Amino acid sequence: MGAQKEVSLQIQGMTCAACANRIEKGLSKIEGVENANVNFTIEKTKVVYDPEKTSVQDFEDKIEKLGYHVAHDKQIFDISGMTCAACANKIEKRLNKMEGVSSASVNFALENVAVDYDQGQVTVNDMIEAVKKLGYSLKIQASKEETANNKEEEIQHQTGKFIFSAILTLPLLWTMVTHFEFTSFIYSPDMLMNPWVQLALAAPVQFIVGAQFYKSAYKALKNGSANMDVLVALGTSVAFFYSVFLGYEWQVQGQAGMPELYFEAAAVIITLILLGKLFEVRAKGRTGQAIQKLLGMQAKTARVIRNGEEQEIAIEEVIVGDTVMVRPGEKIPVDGQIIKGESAVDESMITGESIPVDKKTGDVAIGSTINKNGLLTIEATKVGKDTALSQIVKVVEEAQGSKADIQRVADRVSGIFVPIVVGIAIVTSLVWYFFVAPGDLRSALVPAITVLVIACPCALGLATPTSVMAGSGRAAELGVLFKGGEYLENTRNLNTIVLDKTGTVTKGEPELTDVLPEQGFSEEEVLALVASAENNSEHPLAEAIVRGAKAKGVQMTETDSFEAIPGYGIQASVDGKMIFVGTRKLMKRENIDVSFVEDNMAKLESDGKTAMLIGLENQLAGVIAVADTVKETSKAAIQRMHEQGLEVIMLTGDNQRTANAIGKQVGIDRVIAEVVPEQKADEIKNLQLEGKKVAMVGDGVNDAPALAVADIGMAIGTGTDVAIEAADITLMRGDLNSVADSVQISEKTMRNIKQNLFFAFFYNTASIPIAAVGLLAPWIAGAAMAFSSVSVVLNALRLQRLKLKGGQ
Amino acid sequence: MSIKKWVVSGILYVVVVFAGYSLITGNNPFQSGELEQHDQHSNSEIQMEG
Repeated sequence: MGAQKEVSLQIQGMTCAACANRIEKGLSKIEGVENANVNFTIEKTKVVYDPEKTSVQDFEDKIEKLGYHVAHDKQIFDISGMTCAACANKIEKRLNKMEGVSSASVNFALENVAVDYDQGQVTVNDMIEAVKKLGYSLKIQASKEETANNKEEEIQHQTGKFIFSAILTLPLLWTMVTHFEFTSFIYSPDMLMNPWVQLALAAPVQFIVGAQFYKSAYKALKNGSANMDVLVALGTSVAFFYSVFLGYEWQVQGQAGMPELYFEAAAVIITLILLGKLFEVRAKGRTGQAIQKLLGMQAKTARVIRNGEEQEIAIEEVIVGDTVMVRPGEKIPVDGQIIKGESAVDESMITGESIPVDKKTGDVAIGSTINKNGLLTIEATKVGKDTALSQIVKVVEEAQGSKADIQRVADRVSGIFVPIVVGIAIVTSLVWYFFVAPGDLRSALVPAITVLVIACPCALGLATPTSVMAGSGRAAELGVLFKGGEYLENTRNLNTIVLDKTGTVTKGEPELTDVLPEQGFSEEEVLALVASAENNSEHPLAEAIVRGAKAKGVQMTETDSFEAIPGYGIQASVDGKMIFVGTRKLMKRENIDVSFVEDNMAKLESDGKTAMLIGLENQLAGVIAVADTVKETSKAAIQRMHEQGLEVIMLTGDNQRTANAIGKQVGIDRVIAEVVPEQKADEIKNLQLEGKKVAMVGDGVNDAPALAVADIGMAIGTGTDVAIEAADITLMRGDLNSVADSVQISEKTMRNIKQNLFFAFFYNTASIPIAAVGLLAPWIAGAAMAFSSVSVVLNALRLQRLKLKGGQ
Repeated sequence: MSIKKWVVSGILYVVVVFAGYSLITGNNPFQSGELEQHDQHSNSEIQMEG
């Protein structure tokens, strides 16, 4: 047996000591585990194990399988020194191999790595050291301002280098341009033809400006891998040193004629690659614009009432419970509840909904939205990191830093691309030297240099992350928050959308619709009695009746007694008379005949309304109906989903007749009714067994199990109402059009990624044979290679202007 | 190094190369047309042997 090891893991999701026992037993059963001890109070487990037989990953898998979760420490590091996707791959692989690291995901476009790790097993310093050995530098992510400043400094430095390189390269380019017969009339000083002058001009470009390529190539080769810099360094060095050799030959042979040199090819390649990188860095910065836009929306100050006085303070100083004044035209500084005032509020920055929302006392106000026309007094309920905007920023940041599955394929390809290209270049030069132009070294070297330069896979590394960043950023602007790249990728594969009824298809706020008094009773009389009785209940249907009565100006009276009878309805004593409001069962219990209103009841129910019978003493006084009205946008949104080829199913706990009526009203394909919340997840599983790819759309609170089981869980709500953490996709606009929007955004982003991969991959592979047969000049290859990266980033940026068909 | 410093260094370096050439060879660095026509750059085309 090998040396024993001990590990401590933080566990989430335990509710009692039985859970701890279960985990303990589960872990003890793993082969190689000597002892497992779970402490329920501090939610930690200590495992003593034989590392030769099992690993920490096995324990984590087991705990997850038992239905609990292992909590990890999270850290984002900025990386410097990466030049292509191969570098990103190498860092990711190294970190993932470290014991204690659960996952590490490098984002080449953002130049950072998100690491999930266990502090007990690995420290931040261990990770920094491990990456340092690979030749890169890892730094705990600085503040956004510091990161932006560092990037700006780096851009300035690279711009300077590029201009320096261009100044030295231009004279070389000048001589090259005048080489052709049709350009021979252009003036060109003779001195520029001199090999030693060319060497003097090309050397600083090769060794000062190009030092970064040599350094990076050296680090990569030292670690047994190859990146794009290996190709650039190799290609330009061959051109440079071959020219030095030709210059020496010319000198030895008495300076007869002028040799054909390639100094200009080496210098032009380096200059153009620098230019391409500069464009790339600037464009990459723009793909992350969505976050900056979101952060820019935040108010900087707030007017709070403290000690009876209005004071303007910095937003960071606002605390929960502060009374905040918001004047017309001002931004609401924090999330809160309106305690005084009425106004229209523009929430478009959060929900994507362009029409201002009317707000009154008691309503929730979202921070960073704009108060349009009234004075609002708000009690702060969420500040700092807890505000809706901060949560949105967090989700978007995480999504932008995450990887789509398609990217993993691209990463694998780019990892093996460089050695293959070097191989092709060697074969090319050998074929030329021995078969095409036997003995002619020049003819053998030029196509090989071109192959090396044209095949750099840097565009391949940028293809996916730039699209994911731009796509998820644009989605956030439209009120759709994707939790990760995989959801952005998989949403387009859905074929079935399951909608919860209340609050999703309907407004979730029942309204009084019908009062049908029996003979001998007036509508006002019946409504007054029912509302007086229901005024004691907190049930949403009771609240709807009371609201409706108040709206009609009906006077309510005090009740002498009140009792809610679960599953039946209510009974109360009003003005000394017993009143019963509820179901057929309640009336039957009180021996009240309802047979003569059955037709009315059936009609109301088939209209999608919830009908209640009213009994006064032992006589039927009438029927009252309440309905949850359908959202104005639901029908059109479901129509859009149909146009996208999606089957739309409604899942509800309501009775079949009411559910069918609502379903018919909005064009639902299939209605699954009378399902209790706990069964919703099973219904989703049944649909999945039918081979459907299912998205569940619900409010994210009651539907949590169904949202978790579905292929994609979508939480829908408005502003702060929606539980962002609950789902894979959060729809900030309480409008079903967002469902269709998310599918469309996913489709368009994936199309964009595929276009990018096509640009990057096929461009590289198609160019190699052209270069190998000698149809491309090295400097053209350099230019083409540099601009392939730029074209990929620019294509991704198109997603920022994405317009949705039938949507926003 | 700032952009300005890079630009100045680049220009100065080119001037030094031009001046150095003039000093060493005694030729006017801007002189043109004295050299015999050399081979055309033909590296981007396949040479077809007739």
